[in-house]
Amino acid sequence: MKTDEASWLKQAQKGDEEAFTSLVETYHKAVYHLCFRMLGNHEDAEDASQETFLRAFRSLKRYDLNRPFSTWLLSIAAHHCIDLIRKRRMRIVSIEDLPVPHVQDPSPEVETSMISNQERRNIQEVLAVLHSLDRAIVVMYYWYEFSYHEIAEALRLSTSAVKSRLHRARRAMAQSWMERQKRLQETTDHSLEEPNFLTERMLP
Amino acid sequence: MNHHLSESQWQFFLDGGDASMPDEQRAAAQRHLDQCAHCQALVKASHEVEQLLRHAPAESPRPGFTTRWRERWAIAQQRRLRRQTLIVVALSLLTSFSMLGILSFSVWSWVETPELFLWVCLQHAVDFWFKAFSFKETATAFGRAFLAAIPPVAWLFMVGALSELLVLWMVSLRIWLLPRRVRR
Repeated sequence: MKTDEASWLKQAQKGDEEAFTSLVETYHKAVYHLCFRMLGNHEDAEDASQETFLRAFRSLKRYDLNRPFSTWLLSIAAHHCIDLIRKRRMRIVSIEDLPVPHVQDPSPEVETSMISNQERRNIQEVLAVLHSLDRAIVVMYYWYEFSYHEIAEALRLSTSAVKSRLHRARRAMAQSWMERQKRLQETTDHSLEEPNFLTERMLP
Repeated sequence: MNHHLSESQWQFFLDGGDASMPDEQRAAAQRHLDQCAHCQALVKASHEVEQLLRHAPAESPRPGFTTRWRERWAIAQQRRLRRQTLIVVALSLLTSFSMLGILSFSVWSWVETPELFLWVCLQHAVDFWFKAFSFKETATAFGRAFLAAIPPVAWLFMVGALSELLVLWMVSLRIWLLPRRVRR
């Protein structure tokens, strides 16, 4: 597989579109996932990942074959997403804006889908509190299992800066999660305290 | 609430330990955590977030991503080509207009005084005529010398060889232009 990748890279550097298409086929899921976690919705993630591959193909001649291709490619994706977020002036996707599935039948499949959607919302809400660069660090650390050094190389930071930013990000996410849980708890308590007028009227 | 736990102490509770951390610091952090409800809640929340992130499934694009990418690449290439063509056309126009401007500037003095311009043109025409006449005389002399140098038999041989070559060339051209037969 690695031999294939090396030959694809060499051919793609000479301008071979077929070879680069093979690389797109191999890495599109990884790039898409990073873009989705960074941007928070599928349309933007699709657009950003397509653009990432376009940029990568255009600047492939500058790519050093001794470096891991995945790090280089994800670095382009992360920087592009950071630029997009900056351009949108840190527009954060609200939970209300996310598509909510209409549940007609509470079958196990639908239930699983609802849980998955809820998880997705939770993750996006937790990530949304972070600065775009910190978000990239968190995504690379948790989903791609990059080392501090690899993250630093991909995002052009020092290793200590990555450690420090990751620490701050984890703290910020925990703080946000804690506040969210508190809010949910308060809402539940409030709804329990409210008298159910309908029941009171209907009951003798 | 940054004053509660330091970065290394925080990391100790999240990642399960740091070998370089002194025992006293660990004990102090543990003492603080036992007493501080805020830090307890924060560590608990952090563990929950870690679990959430670590167990989240990978997001995948819609099927046909590579095909869509190829289409986008083709469109991008077309746009690039169009942009390059526009740049070339714009540069050519700019160069043409610049040259026209320079020419107009140079010719302006002649336009202002046409008699001088006509006089210079006439002078150039006369010069050209004399040069052409002298060239004709030189060429004629050279031709005569050349004809005198070659004997008549050699001339006959050359003309014959050239005729044969011409016939050969015409036959080859005819064969080459004929449509090819396809054998079944």
